[in-house]
Amino acid sequence: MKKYLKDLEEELRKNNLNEKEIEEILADHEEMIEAAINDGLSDEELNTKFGDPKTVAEELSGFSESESDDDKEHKKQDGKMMVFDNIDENYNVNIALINEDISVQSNDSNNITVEFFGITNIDKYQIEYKKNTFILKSPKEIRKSYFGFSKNRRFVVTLPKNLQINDFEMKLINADAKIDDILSAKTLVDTKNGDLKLKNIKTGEFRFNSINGDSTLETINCDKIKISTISGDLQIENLKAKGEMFVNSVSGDLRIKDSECLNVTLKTVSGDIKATEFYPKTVTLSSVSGDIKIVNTDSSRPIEVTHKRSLSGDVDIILKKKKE
Amino acid sequence: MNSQFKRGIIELCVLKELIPEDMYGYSIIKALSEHLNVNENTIYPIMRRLTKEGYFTTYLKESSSGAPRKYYHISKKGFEYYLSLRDEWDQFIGGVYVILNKGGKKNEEVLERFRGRVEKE
Repeated sequence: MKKYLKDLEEELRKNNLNEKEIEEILADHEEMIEAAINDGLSDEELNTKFGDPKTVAEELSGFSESESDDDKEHKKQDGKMMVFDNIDENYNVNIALINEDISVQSNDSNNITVEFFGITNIDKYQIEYKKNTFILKSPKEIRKSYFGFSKNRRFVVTLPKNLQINDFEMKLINADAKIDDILSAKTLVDTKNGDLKLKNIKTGEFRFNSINGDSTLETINCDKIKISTISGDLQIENLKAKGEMFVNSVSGDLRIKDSECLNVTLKTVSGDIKATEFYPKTVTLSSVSGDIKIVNTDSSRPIEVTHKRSLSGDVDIILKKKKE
Repeated sequence: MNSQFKRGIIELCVLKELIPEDMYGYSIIKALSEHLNVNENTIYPIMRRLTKEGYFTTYLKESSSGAPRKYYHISKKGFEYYLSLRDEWDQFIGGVYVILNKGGKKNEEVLERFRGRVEKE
């Protein structure tokens, strides 16, 4: 035990930990080893339970106060801003992130600004505006694993409100995202696990894909929209599509509220689709085992069912009297 | 196993162990190593880091064998962190199983055939 502690102390010093920390770590280890001996562990068992002091020291130095220059550095960078000016009318936006959360908003300036928080390797990201296109992309090599040790890494992108976007494209893996106030000709949002909140989107063609992420779409104006989700739940509120709306869910539950479109196709395997005050002109419903239900109160806006098919799910359109 | 990945899992396990009761260092190590192939040099740095980040608080308490022991207590922040990690983990492992089990019965037949072929070689 004495030898282990001595070796550990040596290794800790090698890793430049400060005195106070070394003292604390040694005391903790003395206590833990003592407890282990009290528990009846043999020397051999002690060796396997406690392992190599070198490894502990190296692990510890990774986040010790004396070595947290890296931390300090990125704290310094927090809230730092990159600004792109001379943005063209009808520019494109292309965002592809793996683990970083993002919030996209717009304001009256004519610049694009990117703020970042908790990002230690900002130089590894592709952030630029060239050839009419704003690009924000995660580094190709994934430095951190999907799981664990994930510090809160986040971008805030502010786009110019007065300039129209041509193509808005955002692809996310684990990142959560918030988009508010976007005007574009075409919009594609694609998420694997991240939860998304989209609000105030005005666009021509809107395509939305989600695998696991739960998402909300609120106040959307578009020409046509295609939504696909595997197991993520989706909430749609106040959506207006001039033309087609196409919704496909495997097991995700969908809620639609206060929305309208020309024709809608609702397809589900086992997810439930529940709509209230949803007024398409015509509707095609298809379900395997999920329930599809549309509950409306306005009798002056009838819905024509062009096609209805279900294996075991209940598929219904119900007209309720308005509550006085 | 990728050590970064392993650390994340252990982090989750340490947090879980401390939810029902406060524990001292060695008892946490013992509890985890009963089920997982991990030792002190992985667990202790994680506990120390989680403490520094405010997920645990510590206090000293006398033990029956004499010397006082440092007990770890999970904070509100720690509990919330556990919930979010747990969520992340469930989603991730769920996705992994979906991939591994894709194809159901048919998949097992394919595996069986593949195994047979490998054995012949």
